[in-house]
Amino acid sequence: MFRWGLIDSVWDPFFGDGSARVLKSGTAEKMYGILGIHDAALGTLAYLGDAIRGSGGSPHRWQYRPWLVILFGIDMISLGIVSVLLVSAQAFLVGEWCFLCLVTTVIYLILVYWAWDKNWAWYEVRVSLAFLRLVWKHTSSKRLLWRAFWGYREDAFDENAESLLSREVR
Amino acid sequence: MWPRVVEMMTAVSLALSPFMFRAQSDPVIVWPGSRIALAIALLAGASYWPWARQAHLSMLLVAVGLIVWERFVQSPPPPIHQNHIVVGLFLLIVALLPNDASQPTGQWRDDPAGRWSVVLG
Repeated sequence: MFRWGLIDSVWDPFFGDGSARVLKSGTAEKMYGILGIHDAALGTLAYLGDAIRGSGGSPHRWQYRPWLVILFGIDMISLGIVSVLLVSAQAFLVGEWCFLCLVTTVIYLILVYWAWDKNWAWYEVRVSLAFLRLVWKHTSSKRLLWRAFWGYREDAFDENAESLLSREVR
Repeated sequence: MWPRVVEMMTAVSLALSPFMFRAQSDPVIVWPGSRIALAIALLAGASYWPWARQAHLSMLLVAVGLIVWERFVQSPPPPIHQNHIVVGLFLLIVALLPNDASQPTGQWRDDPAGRWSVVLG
C-alpha cells in the first residue's frame, strides 16, 4: 500500500526509515522494472496463494487430489527460497533492514517448520509422491498415472494402493 | 463452492479498485475494469450450474489477458495497473481450484462406505 501511494509512511518501530528505504531501494526499483509490480505485492500474493492452496482439498487430499498437494509443495519450497533471498538482499545489497519484512520472514520460517513436520504439508507431498510412485510401479501405465495425479479413481490400482496406504510412508 | 465465492469477491474488488486508486474519472480504466469484473463474476456464477461446472477454468484465459494487457499497456505500470496484474495473478491461483475444493472428487464420494474408507479411516 505504501508503494502504491495509498498510505504515506511505513510503520517501523526499530529501524526508523529503514523500511521505507528498503521498499524504495535501487534493488526494489530494478525488480519493479523487470516484473512490472513491486516485490512487496508479489510477496503478499505468494502468501495469499499459500493460504488458498492450503485451504483446498479434503483431509485425504494427498490421495484424492495429488496435483493440488504437489502444487502446494512446489509453492512452499519456492516461496521459502525467495523469502531467504529477499532477506539476504536486504542485508548484503541494500544494507538496510525492514522490520515488517523480517516479521513476515520469521512467520514464513515457522510455516516451513510446520510444513516439515509429519502432520502437515511436506508429509502430504511425500505420501502423494509415494502413492503415484506405487501406481506407476504396479501398473506401468502412463494413462493410469495421469489419472491418479488428477484424482480419478481406477479399479486397476485399487488393490496395490490399498497395500501402500495401510503402511507408513518412509 | 468457496473458490467461486472468493472469485466473486475478487470481481467486486476489481470493480471498486478505480475508486481506491483515485482513477474513477478515467473511463479507459473504469469501463474495461468493470467489464472484466462482470465477466469474472458471471464465470464464477455459471460454475454453480452442473452443465457449466467447469466455467471457472475459462477465468484462466481472462486472467492471462488481464496480466498481459496491464503489464504492457503502460510501462512501468502505475499502481492501478499493478493492482489489476495482482488480481490476474490471484485469479490464476483460485480459478484452478475445483468447485468442491473441500471434498474428495465425485468418484471417491460415490463409495463412502467402501474399502477405501476402511483403509483411510
